[in-house]
Amino acid sequence: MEPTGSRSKEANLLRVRVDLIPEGMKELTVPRGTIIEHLLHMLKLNPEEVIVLRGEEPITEDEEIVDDDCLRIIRVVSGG
Amino acid sequence: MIKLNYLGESLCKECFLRYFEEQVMRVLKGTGLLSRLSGKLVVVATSGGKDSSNALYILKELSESYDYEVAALLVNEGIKGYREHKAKALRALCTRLGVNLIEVSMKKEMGVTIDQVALLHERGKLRLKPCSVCGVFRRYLMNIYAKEVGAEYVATGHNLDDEVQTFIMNIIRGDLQSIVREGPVTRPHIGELIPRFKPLYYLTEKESMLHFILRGLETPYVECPYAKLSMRYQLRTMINSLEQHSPGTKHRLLRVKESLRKKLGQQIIQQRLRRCSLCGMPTSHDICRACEIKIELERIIKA
Repeated sequence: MEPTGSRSKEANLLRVRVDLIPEGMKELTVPRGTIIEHLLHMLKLNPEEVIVLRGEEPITEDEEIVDDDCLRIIRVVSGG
Repeated sequence: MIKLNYLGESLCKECFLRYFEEQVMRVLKGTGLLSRLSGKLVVVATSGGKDSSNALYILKELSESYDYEVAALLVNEGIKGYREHKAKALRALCTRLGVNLIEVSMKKEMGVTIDQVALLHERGKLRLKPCSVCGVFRRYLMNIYAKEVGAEYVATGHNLDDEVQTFIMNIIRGDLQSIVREGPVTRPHIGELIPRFKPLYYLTEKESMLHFILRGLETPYVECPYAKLSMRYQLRTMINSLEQHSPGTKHRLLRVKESLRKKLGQQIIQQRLRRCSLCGMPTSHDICRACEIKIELERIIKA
């Protein structure tokens, strides 16, 4: 049986938890196929000014977000 | 994987760390420092932040191969809610690396903390911004203490982003002398000023943070509360925005600066330095900038 419209919409959405340092934790829902660059755009962050980590590993901006993704975003710019 | 946007290349962790070290070696070889370091003491001006911690880490790592000594110097400017956290991280790093840390108090040496300076600025009693006072006092104390412990060189954590921001600031001020002076190494022609060099000169702020993380170094993510007051802060956001839309902007600006330094270097005669009539440190005026600010602060505080 074909999935209903709303179900297929849900299947195309991914949950992602973002720990923005130092601001704190955020939960977001993004369409499947979203890459890190888009996520940073949504969060109004310049990729030049942050580093995104999945676990302990830095990841590049062209990497796709996976379901239940857990990311850490560290701001590069600091005063002093 | 780590992407270097301006090169359009992605590097794995090992290749990135190798690239990072190559860029530091580019400074050491390009300036001829590497062959002169043997048997000398290098003092690293440290704050506990990522850049100076990286400079300390990498210079310590290279010190065994090139036979020189490394010590760290911290000028504690007394900014509450910031300095104590950064200093704690720095002490831990020095213990981990087995490096001697020299701590200097700005309050004790210059009579004020930067918190006091910021308050005077906020109340309209002092025109100078806290960052201007902090920079002058910091360089002044760094030089005195590095000399006192017998250092031949001072290394600082300035990265490519800092250099490009300073370049633009010098253009805005019309300060051609500073453009010529601010290279990967500064060699003063007067004995009391210790030569300074910048191991991270060719590395961006983002690359510096990546190195910091990949080496498992730690620092609390607290920001200096006064950083936002400086022109540098605004420029940083603007230049990063340009870099985002036109990758390579920062590297191109650094190249322009380097070629200007070469061309202007032959035409611009650097000011002759003499001794400050109060403290004896080198200056291009009768009284050095540090003494001038110290006197002004004493006058304001007494009033």
